[in-house]
Amino acid sequence: MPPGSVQAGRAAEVPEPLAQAENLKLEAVSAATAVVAEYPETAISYALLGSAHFNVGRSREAAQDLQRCLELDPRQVEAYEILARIACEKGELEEAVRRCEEGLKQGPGFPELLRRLGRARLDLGDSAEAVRAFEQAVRLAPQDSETHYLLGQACLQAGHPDRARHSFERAIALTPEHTQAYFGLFTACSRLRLTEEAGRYRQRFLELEAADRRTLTDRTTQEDTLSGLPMVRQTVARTLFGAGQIHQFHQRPEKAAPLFLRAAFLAPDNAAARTALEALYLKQQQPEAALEAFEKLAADQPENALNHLFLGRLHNRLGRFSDAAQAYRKLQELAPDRPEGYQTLAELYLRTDREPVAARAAAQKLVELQPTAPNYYLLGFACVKNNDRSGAIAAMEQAVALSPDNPGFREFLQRLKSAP
Amino acid sequence: MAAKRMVHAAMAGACVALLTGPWLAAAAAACPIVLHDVTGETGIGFVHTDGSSGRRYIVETVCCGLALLDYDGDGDADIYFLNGAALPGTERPQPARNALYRNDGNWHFTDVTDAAGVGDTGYGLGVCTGDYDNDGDADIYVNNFGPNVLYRNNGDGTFSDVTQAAGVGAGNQVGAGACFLDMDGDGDLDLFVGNYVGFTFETHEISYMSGYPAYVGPLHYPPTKNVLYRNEGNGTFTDVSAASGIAAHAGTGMGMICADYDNDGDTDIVVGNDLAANFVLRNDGTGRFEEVGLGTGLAYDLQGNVHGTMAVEAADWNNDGWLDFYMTSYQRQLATLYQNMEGAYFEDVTRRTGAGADTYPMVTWGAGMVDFDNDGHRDLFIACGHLIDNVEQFDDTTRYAARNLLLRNTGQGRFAKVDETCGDGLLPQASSRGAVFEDLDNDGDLDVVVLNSRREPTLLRNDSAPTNHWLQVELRGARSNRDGIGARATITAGDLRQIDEVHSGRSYQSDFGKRLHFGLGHRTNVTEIRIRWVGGGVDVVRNVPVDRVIRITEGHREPALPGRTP
Repeated sequence: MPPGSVQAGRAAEVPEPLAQAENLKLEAVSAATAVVAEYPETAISYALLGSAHFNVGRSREAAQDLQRCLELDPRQVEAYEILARIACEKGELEEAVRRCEEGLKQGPGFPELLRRLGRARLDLGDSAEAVRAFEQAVRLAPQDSETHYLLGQACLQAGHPDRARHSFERAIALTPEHTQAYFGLFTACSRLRLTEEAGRYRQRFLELEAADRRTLTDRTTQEDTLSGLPMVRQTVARTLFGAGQIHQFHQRPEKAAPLFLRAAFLAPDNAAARTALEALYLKQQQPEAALEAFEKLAADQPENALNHLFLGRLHNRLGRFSDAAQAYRKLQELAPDRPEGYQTLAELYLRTDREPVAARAAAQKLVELQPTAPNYYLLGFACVKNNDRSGAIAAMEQAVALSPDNPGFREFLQRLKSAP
Repeated sequence: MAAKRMVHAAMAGACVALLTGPWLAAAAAACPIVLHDVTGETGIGFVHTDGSSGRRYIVETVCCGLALLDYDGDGDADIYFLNGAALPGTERPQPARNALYRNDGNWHFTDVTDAAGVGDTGYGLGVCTGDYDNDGDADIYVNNFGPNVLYRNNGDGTFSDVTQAAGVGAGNQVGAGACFLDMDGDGDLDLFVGNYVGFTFETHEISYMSGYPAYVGPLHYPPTKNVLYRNEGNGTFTDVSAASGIAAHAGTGMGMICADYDNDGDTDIVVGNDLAANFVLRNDGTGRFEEVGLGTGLAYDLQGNVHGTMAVEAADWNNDGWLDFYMTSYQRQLATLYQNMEGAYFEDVTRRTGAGADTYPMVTWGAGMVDFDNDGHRDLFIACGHLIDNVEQFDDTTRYAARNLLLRNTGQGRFAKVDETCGDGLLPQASSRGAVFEDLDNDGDLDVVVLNSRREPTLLRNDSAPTNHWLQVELRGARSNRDGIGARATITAGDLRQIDEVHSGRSYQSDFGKRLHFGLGHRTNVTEIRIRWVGGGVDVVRNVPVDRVIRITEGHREPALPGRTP
């Protein structure tokens, strides 16, 4: 106990969140350790263990595991990225650069590593090299708004506000509510003396920042967030999912399945674990087992829409259309602002040639939520099923307008127009 | 100076005996700054408490600052430590209290808290000093969690608590930094009182980090408004928060400083907020303030992120005649250097200058932009230490008890990390909070006092080789406030031109630096000192010899040694 501090009245028992968190972290490290024991000479096992240790705040052990991983296979580029991240968190930026450069020799096409390198270079004050790294990353991942944003930052630091502006605009085109990109635009335009634009971007930044703050403030006062457990569950789920993938790779589905299921239990929004679980059972021709697993998940997480999406898919596959429709309706009910429930239900009804009116209503809602060409196509098809030719033509005209190069859409529209 | 040279000679002898390895010799040669930990020989028995009992009240994390002031007017800086107080769940045989240590010279200090009557037992957070009644001595304002305290210096080594009479108790809030400033140029000191968050014991909650008990952050509580008091010149103050525009903005105040960032001759206010945009309150010269943080570039870092800002420090790091700002922050944020681009805006130059080196894994607190080696370039001292005492149990990339950082200004646009090679002063590991800088032994270089949470403080004696010249300037206002708070000094020594300002309340909820210190390098004559007093008066003093302390009194063209009237 530090001198001067009278530490009276401390609770003797272990707080509940700590006990839960420690158990969860132990579960993750145990799963990764078991993988290493099962497949001791494989680099990916050590990568998993390193990642598990890093996720529970044990970076020294993580570094050792990742080093072992690279000894077994120096091509494990993700290991360099985690080692670089550990170095960054310790403030060892030169070490981070070294790790990134080592990794890029093995995998020059790994954008995460280039982003990490760019960040480290930027923090070291070497903005010209940072620009180079981010430019490469942008070439590899042109649809990643964060990379464009980082390139903008580096350009700004390198004294090129005009180039920075272009990159920030690209970031916003990809992620329209990228708060920091608006700040970057405000700064770049201010440097360029574009007062009007700067003012506009400043205003948008303030709006988004206020919204972010409201979200953050709301979240920080939620009891579950105060417990710190959601974050622990998420990271533990990632490790368990990774362990499951390794078992699956080694043809051990009986070991993989419970890990995917557990990951899905721990992380209600983890679609990857659910997809892997579904695929694993289907590959083994065990759709009933998959159904059983998702029914367990749905019972455990009654408010989680994602489970009902998978339940519907599995019922559909088993030919239980009314059960599938029920699951999709539940999905709609739990996530009324998401397109998935309307899309799946419309598709189900149209494919099975049932409930045309409901199919059209679902498709109509779908295009309101997500006005894409395929969704207009679905609406057009639903209109046809309801003998609404003009409605179908209107929908397909939208589809063609949104996706003019799609010959299927054009052909369908043509057929609708030329039909007697 | 003689004592200093003796220390140096002894050190040199030790070096001959000990530094046999080439690495050590290179290291010793590499750093012109030498700081030694002399805490054990100072007689200071103060031990800080945050009053914690394991219940993890948010106020524990931010306790507290300290001040250097010459309370008895004897020409050396005395130390006033703030202290926490027992929080619910804690029992102490005697209440914790603030402590005043008189500087007796020769690095010995005597606890005069009782005699001086400044042992406030409130929960101390921030402090500033200044002669608010212009009677010739330094008064103390303590910003507490709970009612604040104004101690008026009676001029005889004692103080009186005049809080009620002065009307500056500021209610029952969670305080932060505080500053005296002359906001309207009327010759007396007004008072800016920062507040942190709207915490109460009733709304207290605990959070968990990775399952471990920790503290909730500032966003968990409502933001609060700061308070501005106008000095009525008769020993009383009036709350002008609303009329001045200050009360229009609620934040999560921490460290702050009042300084003229735009060189327009009046004193502005810069408030560091914890996980919220920092405030820049621009003074229109009459004591009305407009918040312009976003436009100036000080509200957010270069990426548009808010920081958990702790300290706010202002000085001219690159000698271009404009005050720059240094702000410390939370773990995984760089302590940030904002360079003043000639008043147009501030640019976050942390990365390109290396001013944030090694701060990323740390929680950083008190900071000073001061010239330790008198080479004419201001270095950076950064106090470090996490606020979560069990952080290492779930994050081994940081430390609760950490070494402080020292970054030397190379004079070529960069800072170099030198804490490994600058003597034993940066070896102690603690969870530091406030840090203050003055020439405690009057030997011409700046020493350091650091308040460490839950333990004794650290005192560092500057034993750098006395190869460079220096000048220290005390200002005495006549028409303006007696301490010259807010006055701007511009000195010219050959090719070197430097500015500094007298501030009251700065860095992490602390106070220091009323005597301005200029390192001069090899220059042996200061050709001009220009003082711009708050209120607009300008005095110019020419051809001042170096390596001494001088006093410049408003309206006089000749400097004097302290204690002599020119």
